[in-house]
Amino acid sequence: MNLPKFALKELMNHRRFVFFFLFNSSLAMLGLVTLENFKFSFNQVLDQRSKQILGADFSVSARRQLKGDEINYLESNLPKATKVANTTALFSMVAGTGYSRLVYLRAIEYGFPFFGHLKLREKGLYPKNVPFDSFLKPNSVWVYPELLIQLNSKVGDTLKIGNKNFIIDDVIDEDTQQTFQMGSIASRIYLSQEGIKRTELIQKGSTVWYGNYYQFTDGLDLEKLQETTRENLPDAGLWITSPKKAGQQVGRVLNYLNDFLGLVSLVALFLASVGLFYLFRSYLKIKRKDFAILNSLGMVWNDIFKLSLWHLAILGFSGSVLGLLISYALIPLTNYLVSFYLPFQLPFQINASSLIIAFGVGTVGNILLGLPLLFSQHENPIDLFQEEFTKTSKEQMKGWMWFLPWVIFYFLLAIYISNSIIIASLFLGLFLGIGILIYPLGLYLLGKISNLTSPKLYLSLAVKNMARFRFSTLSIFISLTLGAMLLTLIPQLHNNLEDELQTPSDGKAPSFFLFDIQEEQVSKLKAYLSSKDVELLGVSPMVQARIQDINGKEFKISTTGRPLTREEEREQRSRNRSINLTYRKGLSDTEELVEGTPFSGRYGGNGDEVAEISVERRYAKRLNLGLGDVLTFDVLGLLVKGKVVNIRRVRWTSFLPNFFIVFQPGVLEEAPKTFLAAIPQLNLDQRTLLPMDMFKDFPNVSMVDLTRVIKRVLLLIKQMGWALRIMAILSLLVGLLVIYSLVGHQVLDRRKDIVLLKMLGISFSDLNKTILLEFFILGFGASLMGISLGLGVSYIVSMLFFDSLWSFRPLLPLGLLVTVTGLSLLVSYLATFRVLRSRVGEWLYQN
Amino acid sequence: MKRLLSYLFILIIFTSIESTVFGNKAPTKILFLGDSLTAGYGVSKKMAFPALIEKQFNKKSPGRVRVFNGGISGSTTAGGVARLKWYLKRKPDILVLALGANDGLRGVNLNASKKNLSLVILKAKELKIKILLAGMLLPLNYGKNYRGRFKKMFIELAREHQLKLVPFLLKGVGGEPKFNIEDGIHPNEEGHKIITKTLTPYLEDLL
Repeated sequence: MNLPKFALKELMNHRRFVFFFLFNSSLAMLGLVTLENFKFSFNQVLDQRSKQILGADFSVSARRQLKGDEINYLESNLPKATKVANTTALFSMVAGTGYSRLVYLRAIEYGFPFFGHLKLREKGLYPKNVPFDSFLKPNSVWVYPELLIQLNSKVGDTLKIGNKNFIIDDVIDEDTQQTFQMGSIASRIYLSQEGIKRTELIQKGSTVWYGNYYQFTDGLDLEKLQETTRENLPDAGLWITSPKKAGQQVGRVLNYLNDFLGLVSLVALFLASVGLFYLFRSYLKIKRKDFAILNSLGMVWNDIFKLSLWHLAILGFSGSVLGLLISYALIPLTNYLVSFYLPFQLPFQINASSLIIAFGVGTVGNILLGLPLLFSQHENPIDLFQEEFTKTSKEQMKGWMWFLPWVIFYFLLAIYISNSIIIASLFLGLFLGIGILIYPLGLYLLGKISNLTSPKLYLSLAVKNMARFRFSTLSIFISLTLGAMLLTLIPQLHNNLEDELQTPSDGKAPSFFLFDIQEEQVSKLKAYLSSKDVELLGVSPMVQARIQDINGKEFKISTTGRPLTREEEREQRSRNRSINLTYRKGLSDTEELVEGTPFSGRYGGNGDEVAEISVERRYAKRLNLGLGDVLTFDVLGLLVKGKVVNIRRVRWTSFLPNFFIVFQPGVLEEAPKTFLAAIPQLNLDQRTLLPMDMFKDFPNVSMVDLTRVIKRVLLLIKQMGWALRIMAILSLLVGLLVIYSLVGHQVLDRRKDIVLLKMLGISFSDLNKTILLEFFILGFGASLMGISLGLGVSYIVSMLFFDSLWSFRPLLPLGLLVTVTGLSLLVSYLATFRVLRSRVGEWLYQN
Repeated sequence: MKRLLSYLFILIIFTSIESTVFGNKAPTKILFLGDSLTAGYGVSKKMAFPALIEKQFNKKSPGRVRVFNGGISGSTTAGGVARLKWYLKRKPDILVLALGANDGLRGVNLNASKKNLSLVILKAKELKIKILLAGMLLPLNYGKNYRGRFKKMFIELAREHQLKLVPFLLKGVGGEPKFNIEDGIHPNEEGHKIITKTLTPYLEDLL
């Protein structure tokens, strides 16, 4: 017998069901594929951004030229087909027409940066639109716009760098490589490698930064390459950087986002599986009769089993293909919507990973999922005369065992998607745990309520219905619980991360960071800026100290006598470095108390009592500090003790001065200190003229221009925020679709009973109330349980992966409880409406 | 009266002999007012040159000096006077003024730096504190003109205030990778030992 052909013919005979199945499964697949594609597209954009900050795929930099053996290692071990470029950077004083300023000179080769650009005022985007002929000549430079004003110069004028004159060839309006770290203190000048040699500034005794940048063909694991290179080139003086490290300003948030996107995919996968499992269960329930008849007609169970596998494979494969096709077809619409709603370009595209996942889940997953269901169908034709039948515990155990291949397959798939064994185990464990717990408990409870009676018919009927169809009641309950749990998880995690991604409102993001302000200059500076209508933000005193001991134990790493690893060496150095302290009454706008109590007020001791301190959450974690711990600080020779009274969370994305350790007032006021502050967004004129003016009146105050960097980082963070939001909304939609599908199908299952009850003369109103009550109990109970579990899981996931960022907002669970219950009621009402309105004879004729 | 005077004479002689022989003289307090180089950025405080100097002097004659490390990373000359005041309660006898490197590296107006250093010197002189001025040189990439003016600033200060000047605190260390940590600017433990050697003869003179 040609089983595939026969299976296809069989399916053609159940067109209505096949259509319903394909509609639902392709929807689930569409959700899964869309989420996976979004994740891919967002990752592409964010990867690109990180690469733009570094300008390359990989770099090795040092304060010296690379040595011969280091060059040899890199040449022989880095992948072939690479582009290589060298940069040379140093600080110097540059003289223009009458003034001289500190600048950051950066020499590049033509074609660098490989990623990102310099936006030149006259030539356009470099390197894209600037041919080699128009590149920097040995005697020309490109400068940042503020430098023209600072040096009283214009394009075409001459600058004296070192001993030579250079012509200003163009102005850089945008530089994707500008970061907080290198050269933020001074304006940049770009010149060619020949140009930097001409200056004669590089001699023995010069402080120069040499960069070696590489571009590879796609698909290389850059993090791994970084690790391997680090192992082989262990000199601490070498800075080996991959794009992820280059984007450190947003690195932590980027990691959060990656983990979050992985979780969303996983949730979509499990949601789709819940839907598919339920659909298969329904399908096989329908086919149960056919299989028994085929068996009684002489078809052996082995063939029936194979036939069913073909059914599953054809249905699953078709569902995946349909889902993918719809997803493809929707690309123009998706791109339109994305470009309409997102404040940045996101080229939405299908990627290989989504294809693998769709077909993996659609075919292999479906077949494996069908195994336990198929084995439970191995029954005698005589069973068909029973409404519900029971199995022996041995048979049940055998049935459960058939879930094992599916469990293993999903576990592997979950690891692939989430990139984490812990998360994959957590999810799978939770799914299995819920099933194992709810099933026997539910059976017991349903058994208990089956004898309950009520004078109200609809109440009695609803309870009896649930108890009588206890397997199907529990299936839908578990499915709804899992659906509600997953539905809660993503928006809840999104809420947690949203705070972290909060950016300063427009105009409140600083454009300059000021440091080395002396105490006596603070009021003068405020008055000076106020006269120019500029507000001074986040003025904070800064006192340098070293941590002497923690709880009486000296603060140093143990010296074991063995050579220290690179990490230990760095750790030791970081411990030897001083820590900046500040003091203030309480929390700033960008801080939140996580643990402990606020400061009791001003320090009232005479110097011997321990002062109160507040520690930043991550810093506390790094030093293993908790409430009540006492730290001794060496504040410029004077020992000061501080007791941790609270741990606070700092929103670093405010870009305002923030500190790891804050003292209560009354302790550090007398210590030598400088002040930090920020200046909010200024227009271009102010931004250029203010530093010049301030340089005259406050020569010691250093100003770091953050405008361009913050603008870029803010955009990146906003993009991440959008990624989170869209993924949360999409997963919510997928979840609701699955719930719609589950409830709709469950009601269809009840058609026969509804019609029978109608034949027995039960009123329309009572039948309607019965169904609604039944689905209210199921929907409400399952969503309550699912949402509670979702909150619990989000808490665990936050602790494990998101630095304990967890905040409870009651609106989300309440909203979901109402939505899931309401949706269950609405779908059940709509689905039963048609059955209730149809004539009994008509239905009997159709069936 | 004669008797009393002879008792007093004996007492003075005895006290001075006791101080010399048994080393009971109060230690000379040396305050190092500087930046990250003085603070020992990247090495432990015990390995920074102020601590090494204390160790070295006290090895020969225990209790001879007591050192206060007033180094703050990233500090400029601007906060010099305020910081000196903070240490006045320690009653320093000698001030090693090692500020100015960050001014130069940040391209600060050198007239302002010179004025700030002058104020510190005047304050110390007013309190009869002996001063050793530690001069600095800027890396060659800062350009001949600015480097020249920076170097001259210390020479002028020493001349104007008649101070002892160490021409270059980082002599033999600056620009030598083996004596600096990975950032190429801050001395490592070996570098701090060299600075100690550089400063020792100047401090011997002042002691």
